[in-house]
Amino acid sequence: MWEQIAANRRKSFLLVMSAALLLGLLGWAGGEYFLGKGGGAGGVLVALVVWLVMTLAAWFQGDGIMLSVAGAHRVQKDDFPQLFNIVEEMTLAAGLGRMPAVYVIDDPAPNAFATGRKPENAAVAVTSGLLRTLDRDELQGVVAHEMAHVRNRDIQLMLFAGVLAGAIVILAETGLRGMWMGGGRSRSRREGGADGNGLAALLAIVLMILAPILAQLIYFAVSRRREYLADASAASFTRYPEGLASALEKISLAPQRLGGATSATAPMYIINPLKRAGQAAANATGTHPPIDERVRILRAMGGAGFVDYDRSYREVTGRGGVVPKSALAGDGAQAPAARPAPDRPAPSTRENARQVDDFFYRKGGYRTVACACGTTLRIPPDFATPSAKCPRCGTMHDLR
Amino acid sequence: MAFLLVPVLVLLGLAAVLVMWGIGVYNGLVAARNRVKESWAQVDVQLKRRFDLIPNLIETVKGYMQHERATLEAVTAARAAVGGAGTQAQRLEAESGLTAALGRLFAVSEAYPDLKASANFASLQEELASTENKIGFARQFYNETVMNLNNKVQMFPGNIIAGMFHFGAETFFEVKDEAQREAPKVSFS
Amino acid sequence: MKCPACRVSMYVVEYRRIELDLCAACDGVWFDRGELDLLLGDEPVLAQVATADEPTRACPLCDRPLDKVNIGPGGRVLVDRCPQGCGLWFDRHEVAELVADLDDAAGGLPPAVREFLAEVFPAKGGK
Repeated sequence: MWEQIAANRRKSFLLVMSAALLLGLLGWAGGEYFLGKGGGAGGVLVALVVWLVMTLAAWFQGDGIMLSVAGAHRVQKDDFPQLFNIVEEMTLAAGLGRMPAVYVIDDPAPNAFATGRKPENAAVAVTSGLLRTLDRDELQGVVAHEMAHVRNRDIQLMLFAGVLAGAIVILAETGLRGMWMGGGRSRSRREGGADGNGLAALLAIVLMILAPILAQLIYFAVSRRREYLADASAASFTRYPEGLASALEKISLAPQRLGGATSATAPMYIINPLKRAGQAAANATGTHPPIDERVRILRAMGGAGFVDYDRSYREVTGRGGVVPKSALAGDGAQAPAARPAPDRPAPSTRENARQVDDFFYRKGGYRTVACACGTTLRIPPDFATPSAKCPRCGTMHDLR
Repeated sequence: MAFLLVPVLVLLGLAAVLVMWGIGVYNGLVAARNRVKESWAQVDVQLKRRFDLIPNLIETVKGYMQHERATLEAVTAARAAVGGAGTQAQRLEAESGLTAALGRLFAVSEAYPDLKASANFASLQEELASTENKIGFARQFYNETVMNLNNKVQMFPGNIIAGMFHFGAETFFEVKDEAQREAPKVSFS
Repeated sequence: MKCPACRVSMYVVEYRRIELDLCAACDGVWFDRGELDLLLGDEPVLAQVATADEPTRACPLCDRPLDKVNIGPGGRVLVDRCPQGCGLWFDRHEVAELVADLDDAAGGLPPAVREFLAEVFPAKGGK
């Protein structure tokens, strides 16, 4: 397991390096084209500054921005005892030193994500729709998946990869727009149009078209791989792959679409919030593997270790393995037996639904009026009428 | 003299590499041992938490379950055994016994609808069931860290360094009875 | 949540852990999908799509235009349903009409639903 984290660090490093190389190359070619012969170094400098600014912004603001864009509210144990317990359980299973902060998003679409640069300042956010839809075992599976992202340092990796891909896209688009308006050609003509410049121009055009595509492909490929790995880790944390499988199924069948998600934050969620249920997502441009495939892999595992997941992945997809060799040889792989299905009745999610309601009515500034006949009236802060009627007994409640 | 310089340099280089490797292995062993300690501390926290929750549970349940005196006494006795355990081995034995006794208590509680309807019992049940889960998950992680340490201590060539600095293998926290391996079957409904 | 008919904030009525959104201005009622599920369990609401000259309204959750559907025994009551499955909208009197219909003819909706509706919306003629 430690070896797997180390392997991830090496991979993050390699990825950052290769994408940085792409960025530098793009900067050099753009510099040669726009600033004339010998301007490559200046172009590289521009590219580095753009990247640095974006990285710093993402590094220091990234999780805060993501949580606020998603409209997440920090919650405490008294608000959602069961959710808190589950996060605590998975913190222990993942061996994280510190429990991540817990957030709830008021959105009927069931989904979840994790964020944070380091495991020490990570946060796990779930939507109210998720709490209303899933039972305890399923919720545990989802939280385990998010905790795996935290533990495997995926958040860090995806943050870096996302920013690099973003910087490359922005630079290439700006460059292409500049070429379209003839920014570089006039200058090269003024300088006599040396042969080397013609080559640089060609390289620049090719790079500006290819680099963004390449950058995004790297990003998506890494993202999909991380999803499979997080599923594998979730199974080994909970020893109960069926929990996550059934949760994924329920989430994918829900009709609602998530509000506060953009293409930049999409890879952070447990399922792609931008794709509608039933839509094919099994191509090179999907951030997430198709859900039915993830479910089938989890259900065919047998045991609950990385070895079981890898074998099941091979069988279901017909592709090569997905778990790194280092992780397969590591101690987490020792194929522990999966927990048997609980023989208790399907637990009710009603208690969680009630906690969600109470929390958001409180947050939203609703007034609670108890009617003598047994109904409870909740009055929004911007309610226009001075009184509200209880439909059951007809009593008019004065709100002034 | 020049012809001697090359082999001497090579030997010095080899020695330096060997020392560096030794330092690396040693640091890895220390890190692994510290992780075992930390992960045991987590197990311990949860075991203590369960120990503290039980009097509250007994108090809540007592009024409803007058016909289950034996089950309640078994839980109290198992808790007392944990408190009185001297060695680590006795302690683990007693903790397993407590897990089993609590499992039986929750199993019989299914037959008391009044008890199950009580909000106090519902929240206690979630707390205890979750604590039981946490013990399980912390144990799971503890065993992984022990396995990691033991591999480092026992496998060649790391075992040479481990032997030099007296690193020993740790013992796993196993639950012997197969029936106790899973968390007690507790209904969350 | 805003009333699909008059666009003012609705208030929430909770009874037996089921929550409904009511509009104080037009007395209409919104049944959330989640609340319907709690009421109905797995049973589908019997409904047939209809056309009517009532104004088309937008779903308060997803903003899509609501379908007109006939529900209840004989399909006499016309309500609005979200094509996405977010929930059902009953204009004023429509819940009471449904309850009255259900009193006349058994079946159509599960007994638990009929009982709940009759409890919360006692038929009040002319009101």
